[in-house]
Amino acid sequence: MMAEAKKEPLHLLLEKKKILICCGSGGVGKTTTAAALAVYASSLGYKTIVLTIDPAKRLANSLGIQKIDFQEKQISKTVLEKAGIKAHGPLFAMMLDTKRTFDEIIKKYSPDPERAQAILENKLYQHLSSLIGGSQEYMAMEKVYEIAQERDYDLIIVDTPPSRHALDFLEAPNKMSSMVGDSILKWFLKPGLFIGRSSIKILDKSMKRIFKTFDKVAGFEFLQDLSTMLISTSGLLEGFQERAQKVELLLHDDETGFLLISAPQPIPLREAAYFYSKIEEYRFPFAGFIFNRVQPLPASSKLPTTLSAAAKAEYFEMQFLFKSLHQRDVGEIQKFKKQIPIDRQLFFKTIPQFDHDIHDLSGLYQLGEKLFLAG
Amino acid sequence: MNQRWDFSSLFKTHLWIVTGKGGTGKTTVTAALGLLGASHGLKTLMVETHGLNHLGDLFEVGKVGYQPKSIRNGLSLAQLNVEEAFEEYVLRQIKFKFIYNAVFNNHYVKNFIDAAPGLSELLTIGKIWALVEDEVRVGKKRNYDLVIVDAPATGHGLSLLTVAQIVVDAVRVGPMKNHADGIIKLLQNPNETLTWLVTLPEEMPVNETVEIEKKLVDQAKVEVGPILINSLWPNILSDTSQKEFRKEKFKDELLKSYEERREQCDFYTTRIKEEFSHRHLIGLPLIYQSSTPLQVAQHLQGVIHQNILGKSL
Repeated sequence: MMAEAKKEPLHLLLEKKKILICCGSGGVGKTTTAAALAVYASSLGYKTIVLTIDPAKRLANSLGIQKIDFQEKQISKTVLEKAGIKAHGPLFAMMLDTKRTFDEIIKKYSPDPERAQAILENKLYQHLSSLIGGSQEYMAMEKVYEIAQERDYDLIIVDTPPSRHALDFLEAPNKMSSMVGDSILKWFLKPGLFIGRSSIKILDKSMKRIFKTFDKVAGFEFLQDLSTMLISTSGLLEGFQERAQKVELLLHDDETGFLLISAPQPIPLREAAYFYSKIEEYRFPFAGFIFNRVQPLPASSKLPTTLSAAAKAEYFEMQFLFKSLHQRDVGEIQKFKKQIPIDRQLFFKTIPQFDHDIHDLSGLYQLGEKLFLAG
Repeated sequence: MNQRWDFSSLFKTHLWIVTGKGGTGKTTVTAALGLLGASHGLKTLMVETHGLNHLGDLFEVGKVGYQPKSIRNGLSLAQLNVEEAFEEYVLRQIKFKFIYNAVFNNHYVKNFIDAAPGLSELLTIGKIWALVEDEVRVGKKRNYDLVIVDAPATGHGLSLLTVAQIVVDAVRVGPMKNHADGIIKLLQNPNETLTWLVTLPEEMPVNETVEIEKKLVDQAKVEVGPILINSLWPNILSDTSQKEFRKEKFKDELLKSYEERREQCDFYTTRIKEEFSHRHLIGLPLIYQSSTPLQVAQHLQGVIHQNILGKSL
């Protein structure tokens, strides 16, 4: 067998994984990192798509995607070449519609359009559907599943919705299937339960007590509305549950990898540590850490001797500023590494803070180069 | 119509909601505002949601838990979580713990809260409402003059402020509707509730602040207070020195980096000033001198104090 050239961890990761999911708390540069990974991976020859959530306008423009349509868009060869990127594999981008909510689930899993319409018109449903915990996150993951099933990309890179708890979307498929599966709400699905108050009589003693309690807490009318809504949705829940389980399986697949992105500040790092423990707990395939926006130490030159004392003093203060920020960032990351046992061959990368926003393809490519760089 | 806030207009309100995009420094600002309230002799309570413990760490007191606990002179902290809020709410209605235990075993409570739409937001804001108004409603003296909430990042923070309206629209009668009415009355009363928005001089945080400000006004219908621009790049290089460097044709990586960061900061600060010409803006410096998170919060407290007195920026 031929000796293989030594490969860097991110290159190895691309060989093993079909789906890379970028997660982390808000404001750490997930979207930019996901886009940079995609741009660079396509230059290596992978047919790549980046699924992104809410890119800055200029970043969206340079990827050729818009908020109003949620379609796969190919970035043309000429555009890539103009940005100095020699494309080897086709590069696609698509905006994930996080506003897609339960309506989609209803339409998709209803046995017929009339039934779907009846549910969508239910007053209570209309008010509450947008608040169903994790439904937006779930819909984003279902789209990833759809693309993984129906298209032939070598690599799918996913940006995840920002969320303080960042866990919502991890738990979303499970939450969704347990919500329709074994949750307390199943009791409300019994037809005729709340048709009239008298129907409570048919319940056994403990059930009766439970509903009396709910009545007192939430009000009977509310329960009646809830029951009507749930009865009309009950027919379509099984298909949905099956699908949610498939999405869950995909997230656990060996060809899927979770990248955890963080900024080098205490709160994002603390959330990253928590997120990491959850990834381990749920046994999702973890791929590695990326520490973004780490202040580099810009090089200094010898000052001209003719400079005034004031100008020199200001220069030294600027030097102090960068040094302090650099040391603080590096120190935070070291602290983080100590508390997380990184024993396996995990991908682990530090990315410098750039002096300006990254919003064009060549900027993304440069960031990608840094990500794939040795060391 | 530039709206300026002074201490008397700020301190007549009793509930402050701190929100903004993730990573803008909401927690540090909440701590600074907590210190500000306490330093003015107000009995101040800071509130964290969803079982988080960022403020406990910042104040170096560890996890405090659901019940408010005094952590310094005049300053208390409570760390809300949905499960305990649910139990407290239900017990208030049915009064008997044994019934609660019989009906809601833990497994079901967790599933129910997860599954019931909006319940988590409703319980959180309901508990905040209780912390602000429970005593007032029965004619007693307030436990806290000022309650400050370190709210979730913009999207989730907004649901916290709008969920009661959804309940009122969806539920016609019953105890839940009455409570939701009370919550709305508190949140939408500009003499009671004030929101503080935290942002950064960068593209995405500014965009999100523009969006959320509109939604706070149009959807949540809450009073928008001062907008804080956090981590302003320090102004170290004077014009005369800059000219000197130019004359000497001196430009290294360090100087280039400094100037680019400074330019970006100025560019987005100007954008914020244009977008929010009618709002009270408070600039907060990037603290780069070695300091603990608590020291940073104390420093920002001073900056906010001076600004409200009209002494700077």
